[in-house]
Amino acid sequence: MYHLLPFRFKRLSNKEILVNEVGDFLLAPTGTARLIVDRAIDNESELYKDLFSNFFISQTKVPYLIDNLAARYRTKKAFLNDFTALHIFVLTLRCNQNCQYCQASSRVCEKHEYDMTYETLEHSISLMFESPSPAITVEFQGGEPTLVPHLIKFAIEKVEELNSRHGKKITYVICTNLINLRNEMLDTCLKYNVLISTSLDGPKFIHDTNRGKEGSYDEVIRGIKKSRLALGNDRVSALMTTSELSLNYPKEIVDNYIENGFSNIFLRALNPYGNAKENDWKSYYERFTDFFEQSLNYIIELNKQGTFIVEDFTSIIVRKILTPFNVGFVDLQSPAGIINSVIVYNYDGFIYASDESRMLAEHGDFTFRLGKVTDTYREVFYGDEVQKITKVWANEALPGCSECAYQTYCGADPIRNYTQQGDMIGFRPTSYFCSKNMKIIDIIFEMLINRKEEVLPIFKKWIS
Amino acid sequence: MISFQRFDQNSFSFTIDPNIFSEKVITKSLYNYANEYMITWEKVGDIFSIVLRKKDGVINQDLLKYLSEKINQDLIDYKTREIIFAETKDIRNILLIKALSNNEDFENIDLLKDEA
Repeated sequence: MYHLLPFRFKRLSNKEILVNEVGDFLLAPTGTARLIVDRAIDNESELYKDLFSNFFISQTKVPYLIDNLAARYRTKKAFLNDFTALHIFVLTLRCNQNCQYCQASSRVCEKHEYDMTYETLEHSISLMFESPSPAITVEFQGGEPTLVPHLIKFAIEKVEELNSRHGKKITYVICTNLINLRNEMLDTCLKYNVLISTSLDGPKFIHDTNRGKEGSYDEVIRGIKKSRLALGNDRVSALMTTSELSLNYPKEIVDNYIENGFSNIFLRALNPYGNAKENDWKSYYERFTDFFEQSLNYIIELNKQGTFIVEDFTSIIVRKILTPFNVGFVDLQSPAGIINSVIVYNYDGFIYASDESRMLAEHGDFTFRLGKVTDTYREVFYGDEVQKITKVWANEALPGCSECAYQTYCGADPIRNYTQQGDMIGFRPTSYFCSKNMKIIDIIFEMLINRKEEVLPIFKKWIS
Repeated sequence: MISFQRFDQNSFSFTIDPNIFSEKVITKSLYNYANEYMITWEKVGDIFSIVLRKKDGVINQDLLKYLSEKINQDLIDYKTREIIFAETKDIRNILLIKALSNNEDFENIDLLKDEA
């Protein structure tokens, strides 16, 4: 007679996926979970050995190797060790583009009242240095942050000055559309090893339509080339956002990334904010997962033919499924990535739990405003607002998530729940966050079940 | 197997003995249907009587057959999950304590002492 260890299960492609507490999985015949519970697994069978060696069952009430299992669990939750590592500075709301899907509430170029003041910036940096994390990423966002190059330069110099006392490992990132990238800015990037993160939505007709500006694509491509020349290829990355138009062009978008010298692409869905009706979003997300599957299949085909190109979201999920390591991706963490991993210092001197929460504030909803940059670290990071969020930020304790087989691969997003559904707990049957992630993880598992020989070597290459 | 009875063209009902499936198991099983169906239930004597009314559209014979099989399977699966949870609650707590607390606090506790 054996003892059970915690595990979850679901059915897919005529198999049962069993996932233990640290994310290890077994593919078994349908009905296996019930047989395990009924103690009907033959202890001479291969399945019994697999279940035993992968911590699904134990011969003793407490497994002899529980310390190993605990170490594995600790590793999966290692992102909690150092607390907030990503500090986003919204230096201005002003922007020089007119993106149709913009969620950043950007303002026209001339409105300087939407720029952060030096004083706010200094207070924000001081707070950032109180974070216990030994490695910190300083990310400049907007609007378009290169419209305020003096603030970027000031911030970096201030961080460097203070860090001579703190000794943290600092990484700088500028999120820019590259339209306004001047040589002086590139000099600063070169001097301080700054990473450039830009947006590229695919072919010219898609990119320009999404940006609402003719010629935007040409300027971005010019900016990418210029940045690569100055900083090196590996210092420039791009993110794509899948607009309604993009949904019809999976191959063209992937091909465009390859033509422009990228070896990775992140197929990102729109966030369900803005004025579109609920039914529009439902339809969008259904189409997005089809788009994702088509794109992923095409990417796998390209890899088989010798072109190395990684789909980043798949790579994150595969890493969670196939390795014991923690993956530092804030959207798929439990407890949630907000506050634990990311914090936002807004141009107006207020601090928010995430990018999305400061966007809510632009529409008059201050639910996720955590405090001011002049508050103390304790008031902001351990204050009442944070305490409220902590009650609902672990998917281990959320309805619909607590028994989901994909729990360890997914995450909790109270802000997304609140924005889409009106409360931080959320309702999984209508959650786009849930349906999208569930479908994508299903796609990946279906590949691992039905096309293992074909996809596993490619997935392994992506995560090695 | 729970048997379903059609109520009218957009609703059906079934009864469940709570000695077979607990209230918690029934709640969890029906959670995913709450988007498309209005769910009402009442206790009649010792039995739960449950009605699912489709919010939009009708329930044809094929759909009723599908729902009958699916809900029956869900009830069995959530009962299995309930057993797993009940039997592994303590070991999960021990695991989390060992994983996330300061190890020195627990290093002298022999968790295997009762096994012999």
